[in-house]
Amino acid sequence: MASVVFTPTLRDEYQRLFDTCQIRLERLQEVESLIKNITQNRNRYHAVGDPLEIPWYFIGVIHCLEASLNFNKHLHNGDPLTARTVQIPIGRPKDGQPPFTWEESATDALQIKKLDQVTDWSLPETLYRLEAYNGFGYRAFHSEVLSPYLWSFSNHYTKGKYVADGTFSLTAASKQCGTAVLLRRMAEIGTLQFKPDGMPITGVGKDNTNGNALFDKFGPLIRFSKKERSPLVEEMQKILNTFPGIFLKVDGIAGERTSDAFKKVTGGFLFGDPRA
Amino acid sequence: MGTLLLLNFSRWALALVIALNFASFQAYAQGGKAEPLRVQFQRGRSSATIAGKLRGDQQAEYIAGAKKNQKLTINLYARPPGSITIKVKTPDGADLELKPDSKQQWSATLPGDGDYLLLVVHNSGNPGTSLYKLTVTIR
Repeated sequence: MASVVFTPTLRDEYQRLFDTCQIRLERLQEVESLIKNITQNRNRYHAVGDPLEIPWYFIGVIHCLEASLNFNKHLHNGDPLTARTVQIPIGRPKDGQPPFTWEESATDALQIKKLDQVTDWSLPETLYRLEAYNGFGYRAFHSEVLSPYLWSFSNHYTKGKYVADGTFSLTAASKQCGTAVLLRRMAEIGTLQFKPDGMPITGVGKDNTNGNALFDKFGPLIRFSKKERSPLVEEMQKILNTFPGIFLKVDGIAGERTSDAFKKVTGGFLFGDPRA
Repeated sequence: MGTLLLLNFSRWALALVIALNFASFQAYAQGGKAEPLRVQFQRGRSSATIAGKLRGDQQAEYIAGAKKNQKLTINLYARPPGSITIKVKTPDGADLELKPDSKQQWSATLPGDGDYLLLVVHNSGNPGTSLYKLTVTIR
């Protein structure tokens, strides 16, 4: 099957889907319970991920989808560690003898996907790698369905699922929480934080779970500037335009008029405005 | 010959039900890899046989690489008969027109190089689970 190339268009698509992802309220409690379990085990994910330079949360969410967070199962596909895998990929790990430790099997699972060679762990690339881990069948052959491996339990997914290796049903619905949805909730509660370019801020959540790490390290996302254009400013201008009596040109420049509108809504000028 | 074939198929079907019973339970609970399975031809062989089971609106998806002007022949045995159909898509995503050779065999001359997608589709109006045996020959 032809592989899907990670293009700028795909990068934008993943970012847009993540930005507009809304977790279904009736599933929120279940999502939070899963995240609690994942974060409690983050040291085990670090132990496997750090030598391979793979983020701990990437391994955690895959573990959730493939093995229901069970450390007695292969990260490849949820088969028991007491034997080599029997589902796809079959016969892993090739080296060593069963029973395997979770760590040695997980390392094999990540290495056969060449994830130890990935250098860009920005959010869009992370989502791309997650979709690749499960397979691009939805994207290639069922474009009406966004992969539940990423988006189940969110506004981006209703039904359609590969119910077994290579077997698709349009009416089947995933009963598992998608990996992107897990990451989205982690970002909402501050366990994960991403810079404006999508790169993760490492160390967040260990000693700073109040959601301020992004500001502490990089300052505000939007600053007063009469010259610089920013898509973030465009988004803010669109939001400001929804308030009564505010009419802004959406040009992506956070100049005086944008700062004035910002003050009308919040009571203060934009960060960096000399009038502040 | 026909009786013998039917007898063989019945034995095969029974064995398949037993073999797949546990595996399918696991698969439905967790889902599966989201991509078609590649048809594996043994070295020196031009045919490969695959067996499986489907229910509801499920379709099994397979990929087979082939070259322009090769002849694709498909044999599909289903139980219950008529509960499963086959469709083939070209590397460009177009439907490949299959010529029926018999009730259970279809063929086509392939229009280009690349991966062909074989869809084994359960007739959703058919209640229960159906079994199939698919033989793909590319010469």
